[in-house]
Parts: sequence; C-alpha cells; structure tokens
Amino acid sequence: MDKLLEVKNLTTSFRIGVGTVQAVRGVSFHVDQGESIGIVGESGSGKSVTMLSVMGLLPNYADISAESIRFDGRELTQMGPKALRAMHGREIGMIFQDPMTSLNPLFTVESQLTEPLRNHMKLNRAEARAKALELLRQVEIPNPEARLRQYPHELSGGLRQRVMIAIAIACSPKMVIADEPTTALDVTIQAQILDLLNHLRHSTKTSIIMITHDLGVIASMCSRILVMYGGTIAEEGTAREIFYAPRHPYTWGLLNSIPKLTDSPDEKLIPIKGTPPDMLMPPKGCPFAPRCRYCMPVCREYMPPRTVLTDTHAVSCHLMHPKAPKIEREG
Amino acid sequence: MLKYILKRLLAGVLTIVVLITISFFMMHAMPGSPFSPNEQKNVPPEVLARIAASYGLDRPVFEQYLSYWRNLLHGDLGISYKKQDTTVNSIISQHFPVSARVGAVAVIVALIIGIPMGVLAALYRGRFMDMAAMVFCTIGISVPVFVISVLLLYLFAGVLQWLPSYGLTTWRHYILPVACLAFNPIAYITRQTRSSMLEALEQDYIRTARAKGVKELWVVGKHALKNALTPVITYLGPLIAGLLTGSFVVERLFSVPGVGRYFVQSVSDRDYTMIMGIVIFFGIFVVICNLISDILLAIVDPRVKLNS
Repeated sequence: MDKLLEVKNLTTSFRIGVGTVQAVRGVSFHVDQGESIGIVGESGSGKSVTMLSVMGLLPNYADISAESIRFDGRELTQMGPKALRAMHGREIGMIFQDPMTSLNPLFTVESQLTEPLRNHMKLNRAEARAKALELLRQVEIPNPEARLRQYPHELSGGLRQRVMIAIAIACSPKMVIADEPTTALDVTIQAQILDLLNHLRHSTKTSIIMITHDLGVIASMCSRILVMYGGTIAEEGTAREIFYAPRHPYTWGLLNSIPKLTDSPDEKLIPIKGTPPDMLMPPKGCPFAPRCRYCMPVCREYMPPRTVLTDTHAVSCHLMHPKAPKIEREG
Repeated sequence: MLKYILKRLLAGVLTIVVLITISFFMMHAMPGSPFSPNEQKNVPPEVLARIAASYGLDRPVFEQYLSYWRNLLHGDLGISYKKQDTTVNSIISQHFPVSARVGAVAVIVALIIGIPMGVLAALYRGRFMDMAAMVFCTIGISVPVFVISVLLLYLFAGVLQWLPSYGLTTWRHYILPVACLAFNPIAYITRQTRSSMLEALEQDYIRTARAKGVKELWVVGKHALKNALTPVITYLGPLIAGLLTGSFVVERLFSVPGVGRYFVQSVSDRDYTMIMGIVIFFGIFVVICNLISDILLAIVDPRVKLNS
C-alpha cells in the first residue's frame, strides 16, 4: 500500500525561559492510505506535539526539525506557510481534545463549518450551506437546519465534538488527525463519538491518526499502534501485536493498568510507579529506565536501539539484546 | 430584547430620580448661596434678599424641591442665576452640540488608533512595537489631561505655530482639542485590546481556525479580534458619555464653546438651576450610553443574555 504520510526522525523542542524542553526526540513512523493508526502514551510523552509538528501548528518558540515529512508525495519540510495553509483543512483535518474551547464562541456553527468549504472549495454561500447541512447529517446531528444557526454555547459537548468532526471532514481530507477526541467527554458520549469516527473511516476511506492515552479507545479502531514514551517511540506494531505480544515493559505497564470487566472487584489495578521524565533534562539512556522494574545498568547509559521483530513490530528496549535476560510479561 | 430595554430604561429613570434628589439636597447643604451677602459685597443685603426671594430661595428647601420637580416634569430646567434671562435648556441645547461634535471625533480617533495599536502590540509581543506602545500607554494613563493639553498647546500652537490655539472654525481647530481628549482613551483602549488579544490568541479556537487553513489575517482579524473587542465594548459606554459631554479643562484651554466648562463653573457660581440641569443631562446621557454599550455587547457576544 502507498504511504500517505511518512515522518523520518522528527525532533521538536521548545525554547522556554529556563532551558529547552525536548518534547519529541527522533520519531519516525508512517501512515498508509486509508489506514488508521493510534498513538498512545501518557501526558507529556510527545504524542500531541508530534502531530502538531507535522501540521506546523506549534507556536513560534518551537523548534521543529525532521529529516523528512512526506505527505501524499510532497515534502512538507520544504513547503512555505501558504502552501501548508492550503493543505490544512483541505487534505488534513484535525479534531481536538476539548470541544468546549475548540469552537469560537462568537460565531455560529454555520460560519465555522462553512469556513473551510468557502476557503478551500471556493463554494458560494448557498452551496456551502447545503454542504454544511449534509455534513451535519453525516455526523448524525439531529435537526441540522436549526443547529447551523446556533452558537457553540447552545450545544452539548458531544454535539460540539460532532461539529468539530464535521469541520475536520468538510473538504473530504485524505487524513484526519484526532487529538484525544473523547478525553473531555462522558463515557457514553465517548462511545458514540468513537462509533462515528469508525463509521466515517469505513465510509470515506480517510486515514485516521488517533492520539490518546487510553489503549481501550484505539483497540477497536486502529490497525497499527505506536506507543510513545519520553518523546520517543517505545514500541510499534499492529493492534494484535501490541495487545497480545507486547515486548516493551512500558507497554506491559499500560496494558496492566486497563481495568477489565472480568476482574473481580478486589483485584487491584497495577499502576506504573514513578513519574515521566523531565523533558528539560531527559535521561541519556532509555527514558523509561527509572520506572522500569527490569532496568539494567546499560539502560541508564545508552538509548536502546530499535529492534525489528516482524515487518510491523519493532521495540526500543535493551531487553531485546540477545545477551539480555529473557523476561516474560507478567500479569 | 424590547422588554429588556424597557426594564433598563425604567431602572434608568429611577437612577435619575435618586440622582436629582441627592444632588438637590447636597447642593443646598453647601455653604453659601447664589445671592449670599458674604460673596456679593457691593450689593446691599436687603437687595440680595429680595433677589433671592424672587427665585423662591427664601422658602423651605423641601418646598423648593417639590416646585423644582413640578417645573422639571414640564421639561423646564429653569433660568440660570448667573446668565440672566437665559434658560438652562437653551444653554444646554446651544453648547452641547459643540461638545458632542468634538467628543464624537475624539471617540472615533481613540478607537481607530487604540484598537490597531493594541492588536499590533499583541502580535509583536516583546518586540519594539510592543514596547513603544506600552511606554505610550503608561504615559497616556498616568499623565493628567491638563498637562498633556498644555504641552501640546505650547508645542503645536506656540513654538511650531502649526495649529490654531482657540476656536472651532476649521477642521484644523479640531486637531488639538481632539488629540487632548483622545489621549487617555487611546492609551486605555490600546492596553485593553493588547491584553485581551494576547488572551484570545492563546485560545484553542485559534488553533482550530489555523487547522482549517484560515488565512493568518482572518485568524487574527476575525476569530481573535472579535473576542478581544468585548472588553473594549464595555468601556465604550462610559467613554462616549464622558467625551461627548465635554471636558472642562480642554474646553477652557482651547476656548471651545462647549457644555463641559459649565459643569465646574456652575458649581463655583452656585448657579443652582444650572448645576441641576447639567447633572440631569449628564445622568441621562450616561444611562443611555451604558444601555447602548450593553446591547452592543449582547449583539457581539451571543453568550451575554439580556435579561438580568
């Protein structure tokens, strides 16, 4: 399959008063046409920054460098702001975490939804309106005519996120980036929004990059998963490989901290002890080493190399070395 | 909407009634009177007493209060005690349009300069443009208007002789008084716009707009600016009321025949009818301007509900 997006060796840092925060440290991945991948990691692991870097939506105190970011055959690192803008909302749509604050409170749904249609597709007011109605129906918003005239504060969180999705898919983009689209919503609404995204993925053949800290969210949606930690990719593989044959101790930790319906009420969830590394002064070795119960002396000194296990499965962990102790996943 | 406006107008009427009552009694409690023998030394006290009686000033204060109301409800603000044979109504209707003209130009100038300057300062935060604007704002807010006025008058009318120093005959006559009136509001609007613009630019919906591929000019000029202007609109009511009713200092200094100077003059003259007339007029003006700016705010920001 053709690669839609290919990112090679992306590094992003933020210059702040006290130093430089190295948010993303050498991340490479790709997304195939029509494929949906998930990026998982806890807060501060660099997952959102990775995607915002690809989009070029970071504030100007961010330093972004990459060997290459290719999207649909074009090199994004070589493109000027105007060319990038022509692609934003047209070929790549984005859905953000908090629907309460992601819509402009002073403009109607119609104004915000038709904006990309009129900018990119050059539709006139009436055409844009008709298309907007169609989009609202597509994201299953009841009574779309009335909703178009409403302001964001008149809609519930779930409806607002549907409007955000409608905006993201307005111009039938090749790829949609969903940055924690369900984190700010109630559990029942979460399920509805995931169903909707899943449905749209099948009906529109759009690639989706789903950023989340919740493995459960992507289990049903994503064919491949990247597990990020400390600004690097700890493990990547198909959903099956990540869920059934994980090899990185951090992935084990993530899986163990998901509550299961089959657990007895007395069963305790196993948290990952410790806190994520300070990205102002990232450790020189494996970023997970301080919290890893299988940590070896080498882990603190050297960054683990990427070990390729199968065509799709790769792990960055010193335990993969032939001379390392053989450790099986517990729990 | 109509119900809200009626409600607000009713509240405004109450405010004015209270304003009239308090002003009336405070004014009479002030030591001295328009025809006090202590101040008018070259007129015999008996004559002064006769004059005072002819204006009804010898009657009990409460009686005077009631008769003032009686006249007021007929739209009559009375005759000035100092400018004989001139009604307060005619003084206001003659001089207010002059103040309003100068004031309206000043309001427009303040908005036209203040808003863009605030936006630019926010966009170039921490750079030279921002620093320059902030220095100007600090000066504009802290230096009193009479200092600015005298400086500008001295510089442009005195030393450079570029602009006329008094009167209002041509557009050039407007420049100095308008500049002095607008100076402080420009500084305030710039600061307000800058800080609310900085806040707006940090919001998630700005990122959404950029992710939609909206041009940067529209991101700033439409999505951020509309949000940034709501505090400026709130300030607009008091600003318009303040500037349109004239400024004592500026009108005195540039010999502008406006209504602003009567405000101070009538108090020192103890010109009772004039004091009351101006207080009522200004009061009504402030009430209406605040109502208009509240309605404007509700039009711009749909989250503001007009029902409180």
